[in-house]
Amino acid sequence: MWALAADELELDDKRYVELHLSDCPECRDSLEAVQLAQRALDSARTSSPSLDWLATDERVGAIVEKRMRKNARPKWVPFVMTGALVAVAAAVTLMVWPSGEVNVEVPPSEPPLVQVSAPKPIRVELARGLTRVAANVEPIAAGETLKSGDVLRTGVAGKAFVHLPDSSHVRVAAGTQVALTRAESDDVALTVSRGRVSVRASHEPRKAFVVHAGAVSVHVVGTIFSVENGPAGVEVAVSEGAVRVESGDAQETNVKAGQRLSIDARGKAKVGPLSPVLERELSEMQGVAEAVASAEQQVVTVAAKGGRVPTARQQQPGALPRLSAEESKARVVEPMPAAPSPAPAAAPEAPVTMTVEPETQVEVERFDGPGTAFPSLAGGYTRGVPFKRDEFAIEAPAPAPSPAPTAKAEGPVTEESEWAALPKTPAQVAPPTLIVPMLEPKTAVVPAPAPTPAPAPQVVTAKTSSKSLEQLFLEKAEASLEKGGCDRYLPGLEDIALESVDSAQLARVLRARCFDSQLRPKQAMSEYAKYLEAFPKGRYVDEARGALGQ
Amino acid sequence: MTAEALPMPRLVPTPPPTGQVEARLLRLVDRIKADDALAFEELYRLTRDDVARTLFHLTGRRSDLDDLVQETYIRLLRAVPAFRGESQFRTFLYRVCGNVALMHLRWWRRRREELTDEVPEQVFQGVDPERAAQQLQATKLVHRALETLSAKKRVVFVYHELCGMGPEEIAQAVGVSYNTVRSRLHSARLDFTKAMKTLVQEVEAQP
Repeated sequence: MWALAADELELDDKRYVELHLSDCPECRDSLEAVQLAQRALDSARTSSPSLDWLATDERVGAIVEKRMRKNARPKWVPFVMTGALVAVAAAVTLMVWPSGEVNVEVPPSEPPLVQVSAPKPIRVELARGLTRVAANVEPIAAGETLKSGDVLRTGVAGKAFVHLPDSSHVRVAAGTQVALTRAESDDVALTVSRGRVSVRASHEPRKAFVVHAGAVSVHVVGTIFSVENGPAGVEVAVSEGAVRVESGDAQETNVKAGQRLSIDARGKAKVGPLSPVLERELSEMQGVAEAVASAEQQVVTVAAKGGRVPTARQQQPGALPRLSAEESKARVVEPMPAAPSPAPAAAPEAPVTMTVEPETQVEVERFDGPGTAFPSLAGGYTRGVPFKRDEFAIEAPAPAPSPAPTAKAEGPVTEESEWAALPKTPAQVAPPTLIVPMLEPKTAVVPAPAPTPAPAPQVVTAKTSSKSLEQLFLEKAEASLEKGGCDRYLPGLEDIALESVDSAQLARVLRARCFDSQLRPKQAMSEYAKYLEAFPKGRYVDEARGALGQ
Repeated sequence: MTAEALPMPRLVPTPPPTGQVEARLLRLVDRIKADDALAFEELYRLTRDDVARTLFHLTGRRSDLDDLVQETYIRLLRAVPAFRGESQFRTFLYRVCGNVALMHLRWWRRRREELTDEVPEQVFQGVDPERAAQQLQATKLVHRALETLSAKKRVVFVYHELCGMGPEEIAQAVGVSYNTVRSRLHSARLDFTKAMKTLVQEVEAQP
């Protein structure tokens, strides 16, 4: 009947069946039923489900980006060996770099450039899947300049890095739409419609630096932070300094370094620790901003009447600048009558020397090594290592007490290819001493099958200070299982499950229950499997085994 | 003569390769194999509606369709390096969709729960509201009828009747023989017709 109704029968068969139908009322009824079913199918064929594509795009984009990054890592190389290789690669890059790719526009044989003190443009450093949203969506390439009012959008696997006129840097994550509402040298306002931007705000004097996301405004002094506008609300994470967050009801919250403030759609705010992903991104933000600032310093400009110019090609790798332009201005400048020469690489405690001839203006920075100065919250400078770049995996000794080395550190040993052309500061190519993924709690704590011994000191410290918060969070998460909306707690629970000793079991099980309540079986089973792997004799073994059908 | 005694249907042959789209997809696959994230993004943009619609029909009115779409693309990302071009990419993609859907359907039936009311609403573009309402009603009935089919029959039936795939292509996508596809499809059509008839009678009996 179906074949007849669908006109799939050969002519002979069709005639035979039609002849039969004329004598068989029962078969005519069957044919009607089939035709009815086929009409319904015709209608259903064109129907499409409505999905929250924004959220889905973001999720898929994040996974793709993560996976692609993972694929780029050499899996077979032991981690320590990888660290050494990265060090060698970075050193080679440093040696090769002056001869080539960086934006040193002055070949040695050509006359020197005249310095132009025009306002800095909004420049795109990296553009992967970046488009400008206007009447038409136009792709934006790296190196392009933007203007205030431009609306940028990154694709699901996109990423962009933009320098603002006030020497701040913005990293645009995948699946993000952000408007450069105002991007002047003394006034910056960004509006995040969706997705996440990470910002390294400079210490330049200005009227304001504010990031809007929904009903939330984040006011900046000079810091490193990210703002995410997602389906669950707005999230502000700070890795250095502090920001002041104003939500719709005029409430103000100060978010400090290492904190993450989540504001849901109802305006309810919660503070938690940074997630590993955010830490990684903010770390990348810092590292890249430094590298770019260094690269910018390589462009040496002189007046037309000047003599021989020490361009970046002529500089020693060790003389690569470490500080950004505005930081360098705070340094001591000593005019010297001698001919221009590469900046002294040694003598870290010596004042910065700028070699100046009459009518010759040279900007040269010195490198201080691991003990260099970096801008502090108060606007001054602090000795120590400014920030960690987990991509390079070569961590200089931290000013804090050294944490216990982890036996297994996955992940941090990698180098992102897109930044390979950028110069590495010598701090990043220092001999690898200890790979301490401070910014990777996931890698610092390996779930043990038995009751775990004391973890690394840094973890203990963090845990002690946030213990009460942890308990509160778990209680709220547990309550949300009945009330609904437990998905908001999933990232936090993951952090606890990875970092905590006392509450890891409960956090893992709560994640599983949450997924189960949301009818997401695969994730729930995965959580239970992780639980059994980490806690084979845990409190919730029966529940986990039951769920997994064991 | 009963319906079972009728000759086996001459199934619609597999449509020819879809020319430019298929070629474009294959080029993207090559780029993805070279770890080009942008290529995967483009592939996602090109196929996501089709994937969502297929999963929607395969699994019915589920509230976690976005999770299934996500899962499909995670699996696809893992599986693309193994794609050797022996079939159309669309077939390969449907196979991944089918596996995700089958896993979900089996889990769902183990739970023996009623369908939730949190149903993603369908959108019907370019039609008037009255027709849209009829289409919505028809889609609901079809999915309720599909619930009566076994998971394996349902996959074959949806691929053929709602996705327009030919039996050879279905055989490749499902990983069974051509005759098995024919057999399952025939059985599924009988079950589906019967279920639809019952459902329509129920609807008509309602005041």
